[in-house]
Amino acid sequence: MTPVEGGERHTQLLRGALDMCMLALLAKEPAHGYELVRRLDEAGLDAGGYGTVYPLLTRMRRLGLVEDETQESPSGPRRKVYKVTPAGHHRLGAWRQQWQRFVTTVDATLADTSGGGLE
Amino acid sequence: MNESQQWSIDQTVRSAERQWRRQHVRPADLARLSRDLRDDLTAAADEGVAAADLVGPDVRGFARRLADEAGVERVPYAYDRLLLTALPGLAFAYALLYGYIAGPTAPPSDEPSLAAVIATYAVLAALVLATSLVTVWFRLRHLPAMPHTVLAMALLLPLAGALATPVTVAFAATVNYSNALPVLAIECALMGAALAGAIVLARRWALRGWASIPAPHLSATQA
Repeated sequence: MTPVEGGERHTQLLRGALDMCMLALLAKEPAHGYELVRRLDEAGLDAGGYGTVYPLLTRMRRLGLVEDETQESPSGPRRKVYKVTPAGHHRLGAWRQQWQRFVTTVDATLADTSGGGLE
Repeated sequence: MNESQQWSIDQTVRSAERQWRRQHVRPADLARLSRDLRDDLTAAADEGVAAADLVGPDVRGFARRLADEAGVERVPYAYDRLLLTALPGLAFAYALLYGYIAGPTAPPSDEPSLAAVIATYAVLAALVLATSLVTVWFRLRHLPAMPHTVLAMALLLPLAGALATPVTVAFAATVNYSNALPVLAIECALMGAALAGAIVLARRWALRGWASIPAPHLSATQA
C-alpha cells in the first residue's frame, strides 16, 4: 500500500469514529475548538484539522451531545469551552460498546488471515 | 495577539459571513455563528496559531460545512421563483400597454385628452399589477410569508413603476424616442430592474420578522 493509499484508508476509517473520539476526549476534559484539534493530533488521529473538527463539534452541539460555556479570562480572550452533556455521556457509552464489538469482530476476522491470506 | 493575527481573524470571519449571506442564513443565526467562530479563532490566535493557517484556503467550503452541521435554517427568499413568476406577467402587461398607446393616436384629430390618457394608463397598470399579484399568489402561496409578500408587492411595484417611468421616458427623450433595438432593450432593462428591485425588496420586507428568529439550538448557551 502506497503512503497515499494509506492516508485515504486512514481517513475512511476515521470518518466513522471521529465524533466518538472527540466525545471521548471532551469527556476526559472540556476544551475549546482549537485545543480539541491539538489533542486529536497528540492522540495520533490526524483528524483533518480545524476545518473538519470545528463543524463536527457544531453538529454535536446541535444534537445535544456537547454544550458550550463561555469563559471570560482576565489575561486573554474569552473562550467557548465545550463539555459533554449527560446525553453525550450516555451516547459515548453506547458508542464505546458498539466499537468494542466491532473491533472484536474485525480482529477475529483478521486473525484467521494473519499470514496475509497467502498460506 | 498582534495586528497580523487580528487581520487574519477579521478576513476569515468576513469571508465566512459572505458565504453565509449567500446561503441566506438567518441574520440571527449568522451573528451567532460568526461570534462563535471569532471567539474560537481568537482563542487559537492567543496560542500563536493564525486563523488562515487553522481554517485553510477554502474558507467558503468551511463556512458552508459549518452552517450545514449547525443545522441553521435558511431564509426562504426564493427570489428566482418569485421573479420568474412575477416579471413575465408584468412584461406581458407592459407590452399590452405599449400596444394600446399606438391605437388612440391615429387619426391625429382624435387625440385624447391628457386626463383620459393618464386614467387609461392607471386602469391598465392596475389590471396588470392585479394579474401579476394573483398569479404570484396562486403559484407560490405555499412559500412562507407569501400574504405579506404579495401585500408588499402591491405597495412597492406601483412605486417602482412610478419612479422608473419618468427615468425611462427621460432616457427615451435623449435618443429622440428611437425605436432601435438597443434603445428598446435599455428601456426594458431600466423598467425590469426597477420592478425586480421592488419584488426583491418586498420579499425581504415580508421575511424581516421571520429572519430574525434564531434557531433554538443556536440561541441556547451558557454564560
